Amino acid sequence: MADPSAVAHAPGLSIAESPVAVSLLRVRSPDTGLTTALGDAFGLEWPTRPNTVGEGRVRAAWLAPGEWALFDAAEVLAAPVTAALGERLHHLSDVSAGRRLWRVEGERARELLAKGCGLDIHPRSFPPGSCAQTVLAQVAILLIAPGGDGAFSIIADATLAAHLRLWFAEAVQEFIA
Amino acid sequence: MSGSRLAEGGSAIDRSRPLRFTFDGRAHTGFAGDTLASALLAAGVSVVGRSFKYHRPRGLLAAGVEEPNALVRLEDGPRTDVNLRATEIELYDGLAAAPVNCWPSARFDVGAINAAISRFIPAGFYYKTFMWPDWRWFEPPIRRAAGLGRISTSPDPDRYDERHAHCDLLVVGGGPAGLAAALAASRRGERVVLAEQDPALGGAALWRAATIDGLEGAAWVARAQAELDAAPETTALVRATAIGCFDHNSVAVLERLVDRRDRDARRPRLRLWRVRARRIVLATGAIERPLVFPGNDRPGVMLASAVQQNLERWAALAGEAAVIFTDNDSAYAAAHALVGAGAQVVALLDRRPAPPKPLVEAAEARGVRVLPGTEVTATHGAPALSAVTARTRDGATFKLQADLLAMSGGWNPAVHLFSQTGGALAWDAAQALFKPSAMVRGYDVVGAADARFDLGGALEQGWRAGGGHGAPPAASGEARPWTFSAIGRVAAPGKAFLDFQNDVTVDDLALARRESFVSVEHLKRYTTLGMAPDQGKTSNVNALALMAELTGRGVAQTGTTRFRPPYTPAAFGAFGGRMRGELFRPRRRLPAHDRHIEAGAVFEEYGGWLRPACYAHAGATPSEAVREEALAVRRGVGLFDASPLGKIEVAGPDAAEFLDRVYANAMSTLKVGRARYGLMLNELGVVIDDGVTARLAEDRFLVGATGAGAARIAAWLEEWLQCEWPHLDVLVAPVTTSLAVLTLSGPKARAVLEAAGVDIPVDAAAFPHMAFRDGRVAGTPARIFRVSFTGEVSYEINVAADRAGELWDRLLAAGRPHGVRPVGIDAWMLLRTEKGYLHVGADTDGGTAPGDVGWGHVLKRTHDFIGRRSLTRPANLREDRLQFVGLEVVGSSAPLTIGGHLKGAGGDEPSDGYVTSSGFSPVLGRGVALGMVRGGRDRLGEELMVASGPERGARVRVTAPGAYDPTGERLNG
Repeated sequence: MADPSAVAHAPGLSIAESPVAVSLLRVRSPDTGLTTALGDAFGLEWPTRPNTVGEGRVRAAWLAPGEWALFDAAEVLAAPVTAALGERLHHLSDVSAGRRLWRVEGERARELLAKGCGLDIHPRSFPPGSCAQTVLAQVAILLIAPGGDGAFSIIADATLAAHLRLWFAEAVQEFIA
Repeated sequence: MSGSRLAEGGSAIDRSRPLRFTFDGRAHTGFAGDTLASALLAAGVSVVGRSFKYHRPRGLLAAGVEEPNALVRLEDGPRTDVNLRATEIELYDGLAAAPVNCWPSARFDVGAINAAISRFIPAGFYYKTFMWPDWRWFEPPIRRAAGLGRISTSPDPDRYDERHAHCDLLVVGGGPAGLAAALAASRRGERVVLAEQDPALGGAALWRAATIDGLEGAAWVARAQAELDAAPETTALVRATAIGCFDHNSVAVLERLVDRRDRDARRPRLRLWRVRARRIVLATGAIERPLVFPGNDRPGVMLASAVQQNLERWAALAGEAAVIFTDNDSAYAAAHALVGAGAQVVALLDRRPAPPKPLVEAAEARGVRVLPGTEVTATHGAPALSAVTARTRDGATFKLQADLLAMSGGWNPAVHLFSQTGGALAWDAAQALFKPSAMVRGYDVVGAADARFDLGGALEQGWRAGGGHGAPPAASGEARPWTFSAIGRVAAPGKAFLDFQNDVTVDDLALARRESFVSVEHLKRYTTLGMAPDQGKTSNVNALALMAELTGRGVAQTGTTRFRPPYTPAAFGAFGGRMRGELFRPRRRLPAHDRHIEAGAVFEEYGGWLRPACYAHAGATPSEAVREEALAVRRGVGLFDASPLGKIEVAGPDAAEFLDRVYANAMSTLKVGRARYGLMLNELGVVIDDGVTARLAEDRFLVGATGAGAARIAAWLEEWLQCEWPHLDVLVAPVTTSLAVLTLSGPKARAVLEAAGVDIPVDAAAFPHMAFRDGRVAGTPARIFRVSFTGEVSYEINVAADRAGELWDRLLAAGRPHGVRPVGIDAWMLLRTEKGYLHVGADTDGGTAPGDVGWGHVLKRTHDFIGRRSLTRPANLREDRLQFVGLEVVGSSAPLTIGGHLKGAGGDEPSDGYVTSSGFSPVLGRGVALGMVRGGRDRLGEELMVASGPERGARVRVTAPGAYDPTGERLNG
């Protein structure tokens, strides 16, 4: 994967954009047996609670009932997924080529995101291990709370990357001044 | 009036930092910490503006947001801002301001002629001009006179920020009550936001004597502020006005960030906070009421609290010789303040026959003559006050020389935000004011906003509302609680103003009463009382009381109007925030966007995507470029970026059954490896989308949607699966933006594809029309579709989106010897118009059924599908429905204009249809067009007349759709 490129820097803030390896897994009527099998396959407690993230050999983010974002290429994920799900209808699509990742970190990260995102992202409401499909600067995003790395992860459609890049560059002006 | 600056004092000003400014063309100086209003007062400026209707000279009335007179324009050029209240403008060096409603200046104003003709322009004058004699005579001058100030027409050079905030407690107002609430919640570790509109926290503690927790008021405020600033989860904002309360505890707060000069342009000017709070405490204070008497608008007549504030905060003395006129206790403090400042208090007129003894004694002890039962009946002086006429209870009148009249007609709790939440108000007869009654869930109102005018009570209320346990901050050494008298005007002849901003007088209300506009809502609109930018902050209650008097009803029965957001006027820029220019709204860019730029693309927006309309090159106009691109496809080969095409995978054992239901035509009969065109209908049988669907495997399809319909159709499929057919074993997976689609089209398309390198056979026999194959193109894994939107042999090459740029380069390089041209969407649309291919959304509208576009055969299907039943309605079976046809201009090669209506001979309908698609076909050398014509399929060959638009009168012949290669032979080559 290419190196992340800095979108903007300001005191107490860094924003870096990069490609992202991400696949969407859809499972029809997932039951406890299946999610346990998926968790076992990837060495994590599979996220079954809405808007939570599980970390193991892959990072899995709950998106909707029976729908997860798995942060790896589909060709890597396909074998263990198929092994875990067996005959149950599922669909794994690699959307890496159509998505971009931004990592926003620093003490002003929350303040920056609050300029364009209406979600309450205070750690009391959005603790580590949380994720949400929300809107930033009118763009639909998947937002993942900072974990050990201290950075918010934002995944958005690559076709809207230019808009987000421009928005970040504009929104940080106040902090640079 | 002759205002001046005291030699010392003024808690807000910094005398070491003098600032120069101009007002109405004259230069003045003030100090850092001044407002424009306090600086003008201290500079001795008495006339600060002209009134809206009569252009009467006006001076400062108030010291806060309620100021109705001092409306100014700030700066010139693109940063011009109008209708700002001088009391809210913080002085900066070089400030240039002017009053808004006068010409050439506030001191001499031509518009003052209106005062002379005022008897001819009474309340409701505007409405009467609608009825007699003729509104058109009045409209031009009224339009010219309307409005306050002229805005700049240049783009706004400033930045505007927006910010979402969530908290446990939002406190509006940073006076003692609000601070107590914020401190209580902050100490509990709650997330707290406090918004104070003034540049300083403290509210009335900044100018009224107060001792809290043993500290002098200002010291206690400073300590509270330090504590709030240190609390990690608390944000205390100043210069931040809560302008609106909305549903679900949502409050808009507008924060003023910087002065306009000497600042970094990267910093925003305003920040709009959208605060969502679990609980909200409104500690918005109270606004003093003017008294209603003739001449109460003369410059030099001020609210007593404003006189006192100006002294305490800015050391600005409003006059040398003051008369105080009050109907309640609160103004006595102004007398003490004036005496303390060395001014002469000529007399204190108290309308009450027996004011509280201790108050009178305390005033007299300082040499103030108190005259109970006395009222002002006239004011004198031009333009500013020089004397007042007073009348005792027994009717004797006498004149007092004075350049300042400080008045108090009681207090109005600032219930505007409370009212916006839907809270009900109740009339408190004892204090003569409206205060909150039925509380709205999630809200508390505390302090003066709840008519608690005693400091101790306000502190305790705030503390409790903030969730404080134990003892609240304690006030000590407080004067006795204020007492008030019944509200009422001074009955005497002359213009007595209620609404200073809209020039509404007692006589106007009496007229409204005579003409039966007695409901408060009618009264408001008929007289325009309370409809000025200040929303009647100083006038509403006086007007309600007068109407109550005139109609013999009580004030409570007369009722109030509601307040609306914004509480104070807000700049439009704040609501736009960053959403302007390129950031106005997101537009999708193609994966190979930079390649299109290199190729000279002229971008336009289609269905949310920025797409090349055409590729400009030197020596060709855009329309020439379109023709060249279209010809390249007909005669050679073109390369088109079709990436926005919607791509939705549908998988599962029931996938074929599902698609049979959502498409008007069958998909289950499709063989693996083949593709089929399909139409989707909604429940009404209306065509909503079309596209080519491919069968990837027995249980897996790739549904193609239009570019603009991609997201909508994916949601549509999900909705039917989840809500109507949950038992179908199917999954829907949109993959549109993961794949780029580059389409080679034209007789040489195959040659270019082969030259670029393809590892599967692409000849017509091995890879026929309406089939797809997986392989590699130029080394990149690709899925190639043989479908065509141009009528020429086409290969739609799908690759991972991040490979699009590379593939674009390879295809152009391979195509160069064949004369390949990048083709924009304009040429693409022209090509399909030549072929008569339907474009859903261009040729169809919200009423088009499949039968209208030649798909009546779908009704022969035995399988049910969405919209089927609607197609059997009689209206859908009529012969004279609008039907999709080709159109050919008779005797001209010029293209038709889209939207032009068509009319045949005879018939009662005003229109027989219209043109839906059109263009000039370079390959045919004439215009080609498509349209919807009533019963069109049975009218082939008939000539119609163009009935509207530029070609009105031209004759067109109805044909089958498809002017070029009608048999479609070129497609299969």
